[in-house]
Amino acid sequence: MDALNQIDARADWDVGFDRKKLSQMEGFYSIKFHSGPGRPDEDESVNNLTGATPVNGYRQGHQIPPGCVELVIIAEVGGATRTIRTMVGGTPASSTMAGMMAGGNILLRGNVVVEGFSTLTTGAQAVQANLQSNRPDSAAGVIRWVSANPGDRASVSGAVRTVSADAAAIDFGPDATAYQAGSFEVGATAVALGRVDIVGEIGNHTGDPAPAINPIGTNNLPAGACYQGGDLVINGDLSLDDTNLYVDGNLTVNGSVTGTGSIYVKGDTSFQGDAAIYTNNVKGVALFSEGNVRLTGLDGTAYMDAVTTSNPQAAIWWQDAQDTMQALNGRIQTSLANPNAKIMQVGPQYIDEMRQVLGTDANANHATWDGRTRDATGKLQAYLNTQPASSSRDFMLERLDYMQRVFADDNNPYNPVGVKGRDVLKEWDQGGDSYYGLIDAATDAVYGSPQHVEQMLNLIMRIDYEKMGSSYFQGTIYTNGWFHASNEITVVGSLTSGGDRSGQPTTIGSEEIRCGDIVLDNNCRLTLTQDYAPPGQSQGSSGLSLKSWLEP
Amino acid sequence: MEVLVAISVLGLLTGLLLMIYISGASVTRKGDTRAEPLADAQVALANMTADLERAPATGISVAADGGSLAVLSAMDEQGQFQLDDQGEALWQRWHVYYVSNEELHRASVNWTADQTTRATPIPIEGLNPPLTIDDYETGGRVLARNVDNLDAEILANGNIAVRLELSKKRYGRPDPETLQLQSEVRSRNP
Repeated sequence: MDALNQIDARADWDVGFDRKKLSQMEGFYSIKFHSGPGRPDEDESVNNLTGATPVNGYRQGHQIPPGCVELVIIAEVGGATRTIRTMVGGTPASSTMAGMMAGGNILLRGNVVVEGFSTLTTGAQAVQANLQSNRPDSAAGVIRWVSANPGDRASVSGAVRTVSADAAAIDFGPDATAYQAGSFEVGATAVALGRVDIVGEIGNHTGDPAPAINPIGTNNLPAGACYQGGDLVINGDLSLDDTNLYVDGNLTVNGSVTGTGSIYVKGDTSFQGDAAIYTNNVKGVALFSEGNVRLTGLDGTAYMDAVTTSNPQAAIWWQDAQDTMQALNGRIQTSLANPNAKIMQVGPQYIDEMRQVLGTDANANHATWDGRTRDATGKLQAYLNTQPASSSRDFMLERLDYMQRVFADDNNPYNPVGVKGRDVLKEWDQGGDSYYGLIDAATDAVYGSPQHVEQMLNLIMRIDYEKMGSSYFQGTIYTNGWFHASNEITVVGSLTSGGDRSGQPTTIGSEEIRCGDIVLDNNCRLTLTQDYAPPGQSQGSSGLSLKSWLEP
Repeated sequence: MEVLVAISVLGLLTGLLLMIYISGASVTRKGDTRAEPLADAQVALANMTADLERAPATGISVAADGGSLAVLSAMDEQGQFQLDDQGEALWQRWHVYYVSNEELHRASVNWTADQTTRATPIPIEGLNPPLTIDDYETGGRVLARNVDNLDAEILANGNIAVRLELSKKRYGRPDPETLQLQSEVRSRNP
């Protein structure tokens, strides 16, 4: 199963295992893949899953068809060795998992990234994230990308597919250098959208207790089910803790929706992105809205650009923070390509010097990366506190504070007296992040662990250096109406709009939107993770299957 | 007198040694008698279980009395597992295991249908004209001798249990040496 999981996550996986422990008994197993020219040895596996033609097997006349992997597993139990030879084929989950699925049109505007990772926790691997429209009729521009400003780019790690066979159904504009995708397919096969009976589900819970709601401020709903008869308006954040909330009307949250649980909404839903992202939250929020969904960011990057224009010193701090994040992401990408790279150690090429720019360090003698501003995020926080109050300012203060939690020293004065690295990691393991110094604690020689380091690398990679003002939603969104996201929203999870373009259109800006449509406006990002699989594509579901068992 | 005592003691000792020798020789003969059919039967059972493991569940039939079984196989004449262009098994023949005249036989019944038909496994009884396994119990290769009985059963959990009973007469003894070998295996192919 380990091998199938690896192939599911990456179709061309050929790393293999060397004497990996068996999970259900004492013993080991090994898988070694053939590489290079020539016929494989008898004990070598061959991955031809992405191949277009058959390739040679270990002996004359034996071939591995395209779309198949011959797995040769050598198991050692006690003193006995057993060889198992199987042929596995099909479609790995990574190539079918659609991050964004619409019954109608999909419109992307501005800088857009659609990417995928197998998980937010440890062992994450890049996977394809596809865009799929099931709109069947012949129409132009079913899936469109539109540049908002010069230099905008669109990147889709997987396939862009539409059922519509119209040659112009996919339109990413005339400049082919401005976008990239795994492939573009018109006339594709429809993908089941896993239609959800939202109204029926809400009707089953009318007897549940009403949620205790504070109209203003953060609402932390406890575990269990609760039913809201009629509309629900919250002027603050909504935090779920394994909560199932049923709203028999519209849901309006003038703040973020975070935590773990599900929300069923009979009417329309609107809410805002969150300033933080939690890589220790593999459940997320599953939102099911019968009506339309609007998810709004606060365009924090534009706000920061504006407020620092009039202050050259603040502009330097802002630039230093962005440049450092960009360099840090680059370093991590390099380290992923070279597993021997040690980026968490002290030194100019390592993270520690970058942390001096992105957070408060207790030791002011440490060098900063590239001579940039020490504690640039802290200085920006102080500067923003002198600016007029606004929702954008508050959002950016929250965002910069979150960066401090990630990058600051775990001994820094923000933490309560007596809190040590072990406490920081313990809280993180339990799903919290109120303490500062996550990376510092994760790399601590005594308290840290490789798993914590990997989680932190995942966390950093999710912080978009180009859009440090981005806000987040973590989980699954399903609507039978339309979905509209704007202003630097990053959805970490999946989006499904199950409508069929029936009913009257709504006009937003210059666009007419119908149910079943998805619009990502103004620099939005979708990071598909298989932790938050869309309805109908259950977590870990795989199209791979045993084709034949050859040996013994 | 002393000579008489010495002869008696010598006789006792000789008798004792003879008893030890006879007993040891008996054990050796018993071991020899069991070893030969055991080795043959182990090889036969290993072949049978490998065939069963590579077979699809729908391609395995057991006779009503459990005394014979037919196992669908994708192995060709050269012992190569045949695949179609999708990587799925291309079924070639049934191996029919049965016991006759104290010999375990494996007969082969070729499936002569076209390639498309042979992509979907069927039991041997599905051939036209429809026959029972017993009807195919003829000829084939002898895998093991001194086999009194083959007992096969498809268990409730889908596994197939196979038991071989063997016996061989031993020189100087009226009753034969007997032994049993058994195995339980799950068919792996879809």
